[in-house]
Amino acid sequence: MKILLIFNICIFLYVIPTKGYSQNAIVVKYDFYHVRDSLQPQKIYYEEMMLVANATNSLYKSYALFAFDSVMKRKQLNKNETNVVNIPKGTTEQIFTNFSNNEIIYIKPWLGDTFGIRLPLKEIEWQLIDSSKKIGNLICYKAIGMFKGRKYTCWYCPEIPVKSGPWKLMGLPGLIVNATDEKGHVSFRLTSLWQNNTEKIYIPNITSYITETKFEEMKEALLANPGAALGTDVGGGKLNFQKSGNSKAKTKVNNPLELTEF
Amino acid sequence: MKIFCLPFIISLFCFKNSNCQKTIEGSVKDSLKKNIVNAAVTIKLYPSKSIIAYTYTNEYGLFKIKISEKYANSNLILSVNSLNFEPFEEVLEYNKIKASDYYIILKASNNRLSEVIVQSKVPVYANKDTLNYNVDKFSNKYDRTIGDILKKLPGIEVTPDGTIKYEGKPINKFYIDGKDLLSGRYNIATSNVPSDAVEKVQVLEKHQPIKILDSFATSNRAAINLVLKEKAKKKRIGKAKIGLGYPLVSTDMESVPLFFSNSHQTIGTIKYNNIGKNYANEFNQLYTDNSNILISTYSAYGEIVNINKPQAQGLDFDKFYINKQLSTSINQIRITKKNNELKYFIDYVDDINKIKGNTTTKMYFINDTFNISEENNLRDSKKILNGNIQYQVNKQKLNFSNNFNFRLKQLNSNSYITSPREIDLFLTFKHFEVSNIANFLFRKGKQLFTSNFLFGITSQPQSLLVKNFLYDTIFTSKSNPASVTQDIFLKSFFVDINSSWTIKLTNSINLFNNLNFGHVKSSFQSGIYAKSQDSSFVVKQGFSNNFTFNTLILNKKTGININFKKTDFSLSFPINLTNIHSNNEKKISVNYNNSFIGLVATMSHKLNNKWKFSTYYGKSFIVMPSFLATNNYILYNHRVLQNHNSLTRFAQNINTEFFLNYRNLSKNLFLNLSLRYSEGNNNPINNNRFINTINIITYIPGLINRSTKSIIVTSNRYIPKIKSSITFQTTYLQNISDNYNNYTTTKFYNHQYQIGLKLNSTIHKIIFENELKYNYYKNRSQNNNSTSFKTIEFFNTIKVPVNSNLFITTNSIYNALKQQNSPFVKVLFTDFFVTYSIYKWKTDLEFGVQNAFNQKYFTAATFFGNTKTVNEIELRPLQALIKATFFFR
Repeated sequence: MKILLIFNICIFLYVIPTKGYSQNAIVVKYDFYHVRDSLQPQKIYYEEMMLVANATNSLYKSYALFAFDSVMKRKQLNKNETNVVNIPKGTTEQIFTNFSNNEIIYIKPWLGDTFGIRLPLKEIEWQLIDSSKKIGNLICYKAIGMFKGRKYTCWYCPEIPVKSGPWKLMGLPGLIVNATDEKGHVSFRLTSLWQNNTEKIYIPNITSYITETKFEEMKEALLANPGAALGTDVGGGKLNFQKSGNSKAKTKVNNPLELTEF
Repeated sequence: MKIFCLPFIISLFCFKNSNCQKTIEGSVKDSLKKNIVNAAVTIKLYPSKSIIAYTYTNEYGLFKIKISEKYANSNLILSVNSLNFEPFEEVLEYNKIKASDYYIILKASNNRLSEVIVQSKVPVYANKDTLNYNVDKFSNKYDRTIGDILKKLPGIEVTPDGTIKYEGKPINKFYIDGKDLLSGRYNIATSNVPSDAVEKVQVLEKHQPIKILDSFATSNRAAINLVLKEKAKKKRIGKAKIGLGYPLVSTDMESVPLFFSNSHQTIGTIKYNNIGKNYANEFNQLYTDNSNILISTYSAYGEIVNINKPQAQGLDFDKFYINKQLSTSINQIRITKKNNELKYFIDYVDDINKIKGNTTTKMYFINDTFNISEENNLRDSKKILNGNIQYQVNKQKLNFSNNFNFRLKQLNSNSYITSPREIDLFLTFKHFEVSNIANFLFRKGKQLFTSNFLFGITSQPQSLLVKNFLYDTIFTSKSNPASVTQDIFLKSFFVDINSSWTIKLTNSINLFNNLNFGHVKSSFQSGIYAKSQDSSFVVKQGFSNNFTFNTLILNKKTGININFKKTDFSLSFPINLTNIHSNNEKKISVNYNNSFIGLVATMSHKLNNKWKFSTYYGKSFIVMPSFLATNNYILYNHRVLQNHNSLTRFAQNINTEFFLNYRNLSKNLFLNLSLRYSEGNNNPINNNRFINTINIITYIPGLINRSTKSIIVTSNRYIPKIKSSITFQTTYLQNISDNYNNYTTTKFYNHQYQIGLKLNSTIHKIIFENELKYNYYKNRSQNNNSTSFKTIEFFNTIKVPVNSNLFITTNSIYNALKQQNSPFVKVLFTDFFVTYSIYKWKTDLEFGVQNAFNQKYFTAATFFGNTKTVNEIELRPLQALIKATFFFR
């Protein structure tokens, strides 16, 4: 009897969520395409992104980072694992949205710290279009809206009643399934979607909350005087970041995601 | 006054408008009367369900939504939706809408959203050095295995033996979900992994499988990785097939269980057939991780005596192979808690096969043409057990691996030659081999140290018994003994120690030094025995060998690797010192010393995102196994008696390759140009003399020269809209070789021109797979005596759906051969299948009729050097089979 009781308590403790936001999240994988250099439209940046959303919150981040976090969690549980895990390449910024507070938090890792930038949620003025199509087995409706200097055509699915969408696109009466800007330079496409009762939406441990302006100032300070910014003195001299020969080969970003501030 | 009136008039309009726009207010709660936050509230038109207005409930579960006057004559739907609740809908009449009496209770729902998979719109995309093919974009409902998909992928070429090439070069690794389960025997995966278990096929360009070498050495080869779908993992998948039919009892059966998870992968196969399928070719090693040049060369050349086997180039085995074959294999990899790999495989093949054919060999010399024609009934019985156990630690700073290999092979062949006279040949060959290789690599700062240690032992006893052949008085003083037996006992023991040191001068430049010491100890005994029906013949001197060889090889290699972002360059100078010490049965010692300096250079450069090129130059030297250099004669097959008066055989080779690759992913277009040139020479030159019907080859000091040129241009494009891929390939091959007769050298030029067109397309749900090859062969001696022949091969497969369960497949192969001064020999093969898929039971039922031919024989011709071979092979009889295949998904 005692064993049964202990067993039931264990199950109960296991089932009750200990922290994190409410359960019953949906997990969405998006393919993200971005022509970073408009002079070279054939060079398309590609990344797999992940959205975890429920009725009140959502978290959007790189799928590679999501997979990395899963491995790290497993390693914390299994301390015997000593092998090196490579830090994933790709987008490091995460976007956490709290629809209850109408707040969006940009989570930016920076030199070992994680900074949070809180901003009020700005609603996009969506124009609902009387047009529908089936994407996978989802019946989706069309909407058009301007955001950050780009005119997006979105397909949203009212059957999935969350405000969220990829990146900062949100606020439609259903999950945003696909979104493409009118020039075809930016595109988000849902590739898979499932519901996960155990997936919780966590805000990563944030070192401190700062303003966007302060964050930009920190970045500029590092480039101007890395030694001072890092708090290290290199033989009394100045540590310089020199452009290596390879930097020329990097894709130019003359076509950022956000063309305007609003 | 007018100005004062204007705001009033405007306000009137506004008032009117605000009165006409309806507002709905309400609250949304669950059955426990708790507020539901952020529920989507929408107003839809009835019946089209177009959304005209929407809002979300606030933190108190309240909502307020406005409806424009323009919908005054419409019927509307008020819809409320929230995650984990059942949706609520109510039809409203615009005129009866009240402002605030909507109190909505949502019932909790236990229904979870079903998983949604949406196909990506891009069939191929690149992400840094990884090229991704979305399998769903290339698959159709008739595809069963990932091999069906791979052959359709643009930029990837699958050769008839299953080798996968990318940019014209064979791949260096084949991974399943990042794990190298099969160690180069990847035909097992391409033939058995279901196509619907794979999400993506990735090409990992410039792939370096050993992590520690990542910044020290580069590779210009690519690897393939199959990214599995989540639904295919952590459960048993696979298939089982039962097929029975006519001629009684034709059988084709298999069972293939597969299991993939993050820490464990297993593939098992067991297959039996007597319908001509050579499933054992799944076990072919298409790349090796731990090959040792010594042991592989000695094993390959150890099969000394042989029986001529009729060949049918370009024809699938199941068209002419009469067989009974059992093949089974188990392959497993486990990732330990410390992320190390433990893997093993065991293959077993028991194969009995028969081939009946007529072989005509013509050897052209300046003044003579020798012509040999034989009608051959060959029966092979082969048993092979092959296995490997490997443990690997593959970390950034340390790599350790230990490989234990074993191989047991027994081959019994019988050839009954009916024409021009009745001859019986019996071949027995046994091969036992055990080897172990340990590799250790570690990094210390900017230095990398490696060491390898190998030991191995092989034993290859073999014999050839020839009955009723006319040997005149070659072996015995009395003419034509009733039977002659060539017995050979060969044993070799190998030790190989290798160590290297690499230092990183800068981030991009490494210097390396490699020292290798190899030792082979071989013992070789051979003898010829002749018998009449009731007594043994005394065999003349000069037909028995008894040697022990000690071969010492010291190899030093110094070189540099330069790796920039777009350019990789490597240069090395191998120095080879060889000493061979031999003792014969009379304890007479012979010593042979040789030194050779080679050069190996590789370079690859990426011009931009579309164009790149790579080159290779290698000058190398190979010492052939010493047992090929026998003092006294060996009867290699019933017509070739050969000796060698030198202690060694060696070969010098120069190989040059140039590849130019273009790819345009937005157009799914791949172009490859490959140029290859190789030249080489080896000793000895041979003198071909014929005594009666036996070809006696005796040694003459000197070198045989040969050179090969090839130009291959391949263009490959995929058109997603019609799910079609088009491949166009042109090939030119030239082979120049020296041929000696009567102490005179004659150069022979073999030319081959090939044009190939391959089409894979879907038109109105009908699948068309077509391939056309036109070959023109021209052979010319330096004296301008020339001969030529041409072949046309056309493969055509059509799959036609009758309904969603039933489809019909027809395969037809048209093959035509036109030899000089001969009419066209045309063969048409047709196969016909009806497949019925029972989706509920995950089962395919198939009825097939195969091998309907218009000819009883297939004719194939080849030309190499001065030798033309024409094989006429008897084809299999008509067969009809009913098969049931059960898929476990």
